[in-house]
Amino acid sequence: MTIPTEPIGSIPRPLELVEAVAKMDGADPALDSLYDEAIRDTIRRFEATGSPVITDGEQRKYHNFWTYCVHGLPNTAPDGFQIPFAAGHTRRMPRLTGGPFRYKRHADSYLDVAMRYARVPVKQAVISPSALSLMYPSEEIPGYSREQFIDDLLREHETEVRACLRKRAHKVQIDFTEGRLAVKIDPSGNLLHSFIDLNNLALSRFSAEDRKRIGVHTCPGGDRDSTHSSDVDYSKLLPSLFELKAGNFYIALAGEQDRVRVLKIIRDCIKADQRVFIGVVAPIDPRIESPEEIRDRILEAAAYIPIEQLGTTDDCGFSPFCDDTSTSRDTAFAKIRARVLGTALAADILGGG
Amino acid sequence: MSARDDEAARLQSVALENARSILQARLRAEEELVRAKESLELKTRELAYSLAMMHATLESTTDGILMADSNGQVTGFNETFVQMWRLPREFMDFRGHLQIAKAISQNFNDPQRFLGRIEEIYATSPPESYDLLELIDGRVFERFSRIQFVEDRNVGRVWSLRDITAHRQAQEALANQSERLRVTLASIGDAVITTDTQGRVASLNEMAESLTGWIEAEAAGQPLETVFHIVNETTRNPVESPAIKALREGVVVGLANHTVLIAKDGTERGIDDSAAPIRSSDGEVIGCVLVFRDITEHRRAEQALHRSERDLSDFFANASIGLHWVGPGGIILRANQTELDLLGYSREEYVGRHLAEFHVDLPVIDDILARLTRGDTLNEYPARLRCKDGSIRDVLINSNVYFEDGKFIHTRCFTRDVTDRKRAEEALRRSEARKTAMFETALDCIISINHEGAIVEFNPAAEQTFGHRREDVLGRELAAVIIPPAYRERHRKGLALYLVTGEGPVINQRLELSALRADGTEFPVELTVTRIPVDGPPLFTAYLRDITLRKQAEEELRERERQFETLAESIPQLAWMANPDGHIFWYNRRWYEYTGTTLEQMQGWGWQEVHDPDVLPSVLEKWKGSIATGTPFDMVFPLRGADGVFRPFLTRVVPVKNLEERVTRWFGTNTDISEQRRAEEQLRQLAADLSESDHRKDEFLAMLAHELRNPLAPIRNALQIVQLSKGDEQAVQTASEMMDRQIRHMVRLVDDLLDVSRISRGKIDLRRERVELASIIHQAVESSRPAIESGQHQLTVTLPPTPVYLNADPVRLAQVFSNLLNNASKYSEPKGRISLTVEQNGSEVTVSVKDTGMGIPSGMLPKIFEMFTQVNTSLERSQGGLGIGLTLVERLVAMHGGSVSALSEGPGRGSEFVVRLPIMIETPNTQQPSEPIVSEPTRKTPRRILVVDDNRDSATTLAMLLKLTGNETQSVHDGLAAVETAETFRPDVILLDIGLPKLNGYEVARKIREQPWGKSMVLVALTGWGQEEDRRKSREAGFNGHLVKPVDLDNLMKLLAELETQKT
Repeated sequence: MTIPTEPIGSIPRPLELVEAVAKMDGADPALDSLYDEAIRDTIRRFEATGSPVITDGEQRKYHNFWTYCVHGLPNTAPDGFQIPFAAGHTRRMPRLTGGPFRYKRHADSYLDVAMRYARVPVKQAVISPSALSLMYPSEEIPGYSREQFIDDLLREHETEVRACLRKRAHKVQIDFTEGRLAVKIDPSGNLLHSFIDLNNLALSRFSAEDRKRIGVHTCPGGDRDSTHSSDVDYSKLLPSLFELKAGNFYIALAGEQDRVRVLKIIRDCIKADQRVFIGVVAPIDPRIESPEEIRDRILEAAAYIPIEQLGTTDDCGFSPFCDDTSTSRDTAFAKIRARVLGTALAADILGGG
Repeated sequence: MSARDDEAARLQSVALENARSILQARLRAEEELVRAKESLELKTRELAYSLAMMHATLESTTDGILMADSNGQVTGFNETFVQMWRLPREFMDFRGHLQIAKAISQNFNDPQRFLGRIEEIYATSPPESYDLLELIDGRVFERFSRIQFVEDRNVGRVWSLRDITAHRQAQEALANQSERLRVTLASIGDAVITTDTQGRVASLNEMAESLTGWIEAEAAGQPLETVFHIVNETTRNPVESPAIKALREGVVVGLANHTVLIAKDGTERGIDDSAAPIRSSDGEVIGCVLVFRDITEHRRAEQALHRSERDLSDFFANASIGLHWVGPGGIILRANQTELDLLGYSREEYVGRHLAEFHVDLPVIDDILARLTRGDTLNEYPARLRCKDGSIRDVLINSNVYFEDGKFIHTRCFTRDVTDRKRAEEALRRSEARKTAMFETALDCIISINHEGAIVEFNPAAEQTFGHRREDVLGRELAAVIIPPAYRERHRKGLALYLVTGEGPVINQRLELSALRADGTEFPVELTVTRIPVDGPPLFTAYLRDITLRKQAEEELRERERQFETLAESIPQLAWMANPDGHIFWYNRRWYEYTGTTLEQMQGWGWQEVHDPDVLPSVLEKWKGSIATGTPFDMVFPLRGADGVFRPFLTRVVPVKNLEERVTRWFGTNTDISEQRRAEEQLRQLAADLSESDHRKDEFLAMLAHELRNPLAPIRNALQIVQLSKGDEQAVQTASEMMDRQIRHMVRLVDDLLDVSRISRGKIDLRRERVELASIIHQAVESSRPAIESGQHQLTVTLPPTPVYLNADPVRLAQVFSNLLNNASKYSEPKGRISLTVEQNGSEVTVSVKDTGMGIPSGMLPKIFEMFTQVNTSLERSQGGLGIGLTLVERLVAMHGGSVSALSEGPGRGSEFVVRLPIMIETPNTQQPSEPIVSEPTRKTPRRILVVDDNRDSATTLAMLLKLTGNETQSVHDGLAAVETAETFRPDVILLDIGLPKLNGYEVARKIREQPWGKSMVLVALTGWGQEEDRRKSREAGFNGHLVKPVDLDNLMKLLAELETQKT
């Protein structure tokens, strides 16, 4: 038997690309050759790890996993909310200044390029509607109501996911890192429930078959070897998370101190038609896990999660923000290789039993 | 609160605001879900109703119906089916179709064949199948089956059976008609097969035989499928004959598409056919007629059409032009990739949206929608579409409308991006507009020609200049129109050379040539030829300007410049010209003569070489200031001459400006003002001198009044003494002597004054003669003796041992030395010493008059000889005199070729005046005999003397004096009286004043001389005018003698004696 294993998404960009993007607009056509080379190299090295499913390393999400689709919109201002990280730095979101809300670019355009080079299935990560909902300011935008915004947001998200599915993305993974952040900001859980509702409104638009290829990723938000919400207890998040009408869940676990406790929560919350991919490598940990270590974590998880509902993944992307060079490309691919090997080891054991 | 907390609070606020909106969205979604559920329930009910209806239909039909799924399990049947096969009702429960078929097969002679046929249908799953079943009992059934699809899903097969026994029987009757029909059919072009109601071939016409390969005899009775073997062109599966369907359904049926007829020999033909039931007179179907024709060619055409459609579809997908279909209501139904790429939308963002969302101009989209709704087409319809990135594209839309059955289905719109073209057209339009405006309004002539030299453009300026109308010259050869004959061949060769080599010496060059007007006159033009950058054969454009006026102006300018240079060469000043920037390019000849330089040295700014380095900076500053402001330059500065000497020059530079008041050049002159400077200096000196002279004159006048008044007092006193001392001879004698001295003093003053005046005006003449200096000295000493004696001065006269002769006027020289002696006496204290020393030094003699007097201050020495100068003019120190004595001395000595100088060691130290005179070299033979001394002879006979003077006192006193000396006298006071008295009195002598009333002295003399009695009279002029000129005039008037007033009586007597002697 095999245990499915998939990456989350981002791989650190080549330094020359990071430097070039820092000097000019990331959408500048002059960077096309650098992007193309970075994507080609990422896919080549990804495939070399033996990973049965790969991504384009999000090389072309030149800003970050969160705002790639709205970066550069004329009806935005750069003074949106700040996302504080434990290491002390912040990341700031754009603020919507006027309607209508439209994506500047859709992630399926990245998929087009990746599919040209890839020889194994490619998954595509997209940002959740709940994350982008924070772009609308607290005050009402004259002439463009919050309700209109929510409608536009859901339609744009649906358009993006459908395009990825149609272009044969192996999975479409909705990044929902703000789930845990929502609990941190609003311990009452109201904010999280609101996020779940919003995302479910989007997911409801897809058939059950489509949802089998749609997943949701949650993590404490990694950036520069730091997180924004690792202090939030999974027990506050996971029961609500599994209410999402998605077929797959990618949950950071390697970085958790009490993995068993989390696994028990998952066991109690997961539905029959859902599969959970547990994080078995920690991108913010510079140490490269051994395949055996990973194998053991899977075996540990298998004690709580039915094997047919279990998969493995990375805790988080290796470089969700394009200028994050805290992890090298070599380290990222070494960790992925360890995940692939460790998963295979575990599968051998579990299959043999 | 920290910034981070504040940020979190704001974030929470937003999230909660969003939550409300999300909740509302969720509620809306749930409401939609409820509506969907309700809709589903409604559909379910409708379905149940439909099922009931279907069941009723099944039961009401006369056909036997059985339904089985794809596995052959019976899913439904009607009672007719059961009854047709006469089966027990319960037999139908839980049976598979094949089991039922097995039971049914017993009704056939060949049960296995029936079963095989059923199994084949299940195995091959043809969409439809048909069989004619003949039962053992004689009944004939038609069996038909068809696969049923629900929502594209195979839900099983419906088997239907129809009892056609009665129909079969009717076929018999039909056979009778078949022959007639066959003959008829043999004559038509289409193939025709008729069948009976069982689908068996009844007849074939010749064309049918030809196409099927069957002859009628063989085919008759054969199942139509055998003879008319048709398959699907693509699947190669058998296709139900339309004849069968026509028989079955009793309607006219066309053949299914893609059908191929396989002839008996295997050849295949595409056919087109139709089938129609043949009905009896009572309307019953008794057979079928199948009409078909070879449509191989038609099929080829159809295939071509299909390819075309496929190509069209490919074109749609791959067309480089944008395509979209618009359905009713303006919804975009379909769009190709080019359209999406053009606007930047994904298909999901574009298809399904309303067309208006992408149009910029609302009136345009309203119009478009109105047209589309009406079914109108759009033809090159301009519109502007908004791209996803917000940019706007200009497009042209063409459309056609697709109708089906007269109903509007959709409009196909072709979107052609003309943004770039439109921008280019706009740019071109503007460019053309500018070019046309420039062309039409240009002041210059603009003429374009093609590669053959023919005129293709001729603008209004060219029409006006050349006198040709544009329509007259277009197409004509340029050379023949505007080029003078002498240059035409050169033009043609030049054009030909350019076309061959691409080299044209006139291209892009500014040339001046002659051109030809329509009236045949030639005139100068300025010409520039450019090649117009167009594809194909070259075009050339010439820009011409009539420069007749400019040429004239240039010639006039050159002429003026020649005149100007001539003028500038003729003026005494240095002159030059400079460009507006100060660069000097021309100097006149005088400049080079004065400075000794060349143009090469001086041109531009080289003139600085001849400037004084100390002054040059200020000159440059001022000159550059004038250049910058265009204002005249006026300055005095020195220029170095060729001799190295700097002389002052007044430099004036004026700007020469054109009509636009722009400086075209500078013209400068340098005027040498050295002489002016000297003259000014002299003038200043003269003014100072005049001032000094004026001052001395004032002093002189005061002194003159004083000097003249001094003698008058003693004279008046003496007169009173004479009047009071009657009889006292001694007193009268003393008084008379005193008056005589005072009067002589006054006469000497006046004489000196007159002499100085005459000398100054050049009116004095020297009466030079050879004279011994000693006699002159003696005469002078005698003249001065009264003064010397009066001062008790000690005079020492030292003469040389040998006589010294001079060529001189002895009277004037005596006057010189007398004046010097008088001065020495005047300025010496009583008993002072005076010495007069004569020394001969070579060719000159010096006469020194030295005293021990008051001396002369050193400052006075240089001007001691000037008029009206006296050493001390204060009244108390005044020594009398008018201050003209030394002036008289100096000028008289100068008139004799000598000089006089004054020496003094200062006040109180005495003075010395030294006179130097050239001496006459003594030659013994040249000694002139001395004139005989004429003395007054003693007059014994009294003379008759007439005295004429308008000054009555003067006339009376003179007459009294002459009477006292024994003469008979009369006196009159005007000219007429003089003439009359002369006639009556007949005097011997007339003393006649010149300035007389009525007749002046000259006129009186002439009248008297005209009279016989007057010819011998002695006429003596008595006048204040004593110059030679005066004497000449009196001589010419007839006077015998000329005396200057006041008349000394002795001198008068001596003259009268001489005149009388001469008469005798």
